[in-house]
Amino acid sequence: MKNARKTKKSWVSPLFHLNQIWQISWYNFRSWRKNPRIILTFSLAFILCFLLTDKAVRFSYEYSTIMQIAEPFVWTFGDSNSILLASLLLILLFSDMPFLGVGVPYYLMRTNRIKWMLGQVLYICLATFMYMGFVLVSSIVICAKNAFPGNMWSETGAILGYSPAGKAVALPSTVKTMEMSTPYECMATIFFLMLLYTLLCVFIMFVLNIRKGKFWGIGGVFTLSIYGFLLNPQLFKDALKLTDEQMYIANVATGWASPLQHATYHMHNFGYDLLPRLWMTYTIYGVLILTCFLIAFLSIRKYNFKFVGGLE
Amino acid sequence: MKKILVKLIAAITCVTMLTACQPTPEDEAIMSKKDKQFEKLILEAASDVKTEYPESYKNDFVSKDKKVNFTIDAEVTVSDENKYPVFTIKLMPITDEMTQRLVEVFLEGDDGYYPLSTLTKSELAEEIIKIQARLADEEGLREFCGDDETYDRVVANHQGTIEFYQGKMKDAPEEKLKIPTELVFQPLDFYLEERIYSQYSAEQELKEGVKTDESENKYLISDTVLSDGRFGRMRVSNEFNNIFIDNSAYGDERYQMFMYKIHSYVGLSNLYMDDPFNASSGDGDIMALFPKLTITKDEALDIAKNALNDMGVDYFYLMSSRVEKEMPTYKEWTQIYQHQDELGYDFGKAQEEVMSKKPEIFYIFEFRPTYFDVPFIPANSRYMPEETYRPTIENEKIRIRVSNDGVAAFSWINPIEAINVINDDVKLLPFEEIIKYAQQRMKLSYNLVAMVPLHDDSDIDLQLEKYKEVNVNIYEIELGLTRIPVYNKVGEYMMIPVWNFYGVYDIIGKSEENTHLMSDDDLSERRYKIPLVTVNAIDGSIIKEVMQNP
Repeated sequence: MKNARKTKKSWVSPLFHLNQIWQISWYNFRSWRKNPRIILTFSLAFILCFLLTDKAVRFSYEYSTIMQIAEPFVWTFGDSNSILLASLLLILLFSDMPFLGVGVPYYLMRTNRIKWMLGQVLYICLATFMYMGFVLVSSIVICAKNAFPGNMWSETGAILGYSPAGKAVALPSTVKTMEMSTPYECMATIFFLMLLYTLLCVFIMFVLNIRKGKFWGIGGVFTLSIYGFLLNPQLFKDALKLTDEQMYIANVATGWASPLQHATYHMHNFGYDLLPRLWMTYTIYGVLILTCFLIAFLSIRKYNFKFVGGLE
Repeated sequence: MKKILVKLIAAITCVTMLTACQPTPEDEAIMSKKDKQFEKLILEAASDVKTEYPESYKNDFVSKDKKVNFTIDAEVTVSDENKYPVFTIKLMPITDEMTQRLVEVFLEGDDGYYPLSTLTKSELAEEIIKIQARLADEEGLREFCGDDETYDRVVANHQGTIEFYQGKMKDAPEEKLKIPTELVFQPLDFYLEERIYSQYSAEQELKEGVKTDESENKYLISDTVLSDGRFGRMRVSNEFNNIFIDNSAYGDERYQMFMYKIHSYVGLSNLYMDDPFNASSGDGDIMALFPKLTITKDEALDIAKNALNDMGVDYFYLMSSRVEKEMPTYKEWTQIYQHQDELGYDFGKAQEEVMSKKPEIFYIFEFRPTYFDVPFIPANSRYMPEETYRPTIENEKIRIRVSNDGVAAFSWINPIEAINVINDDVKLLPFEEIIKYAQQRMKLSYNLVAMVPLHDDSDIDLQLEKYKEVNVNIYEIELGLTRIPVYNKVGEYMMIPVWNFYGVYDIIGKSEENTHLMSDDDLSERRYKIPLVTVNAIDGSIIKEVMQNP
């Protein structure tokens, strides 16, 4: 009888745990209200989209052609430099990780460290998704006036892909990507790739923040970004002493070794080369993110919470 | 938060609705290759009633940016059989038998010898005298070097070479060592290691036989002195990223390695140097040794065709021909680069002007293969190392150089053979549809930005202001076969029928300085016919294969 009562008492619905995790996560979202840092991040993201998509819009006006509504996003964020810029803005959004607000002690008393961490992870994932969604919607809205919604590539895309004009205005539109997919499919893939890359950046920042402190967290993301930015085929060419004709080895090596290139849509194998396939990239990102998650999971047990500030 | 989300969604909806999107066009601008549509089409057989093609086609239109005017006044070329297959291909390994057949023709019955580079006593003495004479002409050498630093380096090198030769003098043989070759493939080590290059053990090593793995036998290198006194060099390789060995004119232990991006190569040149195609800027004096052309182009072409027939390689057709002059000397290269700056970075024009006085020494004929009686026609493509993500192979071709002395050089790059005929007579799109797709593509692909010379170092808009328009003249439309990669099989290729639209274009600048008239050129002297667009004859898609070389 005694044992039965004990069992009944200790059983708690999984929904209760999920609700607690959600509440912890929601607590972080509540801090967005009138938060200048959040407003600044999203404003800068909108300005970034405006500036980056401007090339595509101007190009279509110059040629008196219209675009497919997803194309500006596809061309803009089909470029590794644009992905890098967009992901760096997230550092601003998550600069206060691991979010030790005044309410955290109360949550820690009512839940436990693991649930608190899962709440942070949920918040990170949702905030990153919202941020990337905002970037996508902004790119679409900015260019919508001169674009059509049908799921087919536009003449502007064909001009960019089939002539050196795309290269001249630095819009990475390749026939390879256009022939093998539709605009919305391409847009969804690029969105997912960007999301995974930014999630990886944020998780690395989260883990380093927990283990080493904020300085190392921000430093870690910058290091990852700089590594992706500086890793180019020329480095491999020099290191492996390759000839011009063997340049493909350097190009392929860069495609595999750089996390930033993994986030770049056209740097994937669509059936004709040796670059990673999309599913391979998803797996690599998935494993890396999961590894970060596990490290965070192990680290949080020994994490020394230090609270600053007073009651609101 | 809910309120914020609702406001955000409402704002986005309003903005999107207010912007009012454009209507979706009816036609797709880019043909989809999803769902293996093309793989299904290549299996469809042509109907028994053969498609009729017009003998010529005429039309005018302008590009999307209205800056490029197209005039099509073209002859339509199709094969006599009017039957177009689709088949997969592979590189054909070069065998000993194949090589020996070629060698008989090109060595004109003379023997081949292993490329032993050991210099005799008298040759070493001659070399030393030559270098000493070069060093004695201090003024000339300084002018050649350009600056003091280069001069000092060159002098030090020359002095080092003299010391090296003097050291070799003691053990050098009195007479040239000549070991006849059986013209069989050997492993690379055979040529690289001391077996061949060491002077005295070579004969013994060759008699005893070299113990190597048969599967590694991929190289065949041979020298010969022809009965008329000329020197010949043959290099054959079945190795990817060919490593060719060149024992330079300076003699033993100073050989160099060259790498090419081709799978296999049959090269044979009965010239003083290895391969005049690779002559560098400093080799102008070597090229000057060749006799000036006195034979006519037709006579030279007959010599080239007869050589091909004698070798039993009779399925090639003449793709292009041109005349080659002596290579520019170091001084002339400097002049070209200086003149290029004066002409607004027009390298071609600068080279042409500087080289106009140089004598002509070769006719160069380039032959392309026919497969199943259909000519192979290279697609509109560029080779861009920075955009290549897999190993590539150059298209099959034979190049023959003819001088007054007959065939001066022969090279056969990447012989291929059909391995699997997927469809021996595939169904093709009607000519009218091909024209429609080609015109659509040309309207979009060719614009001022794409056609005028632009430089990265200055503003593109400013550069474009110098040009008025471009006039394109399409003079031939040809149906042939070209090579495309097989989907999901890296390194495998298939041949498919395509239409090439050959043309020339004149860039009309706002000043004469920026006007470039290609139509003034003699088309028969062009190195290649330029396909402005290549249309897949089966599905109408555009072939833009950056992996192919012209």
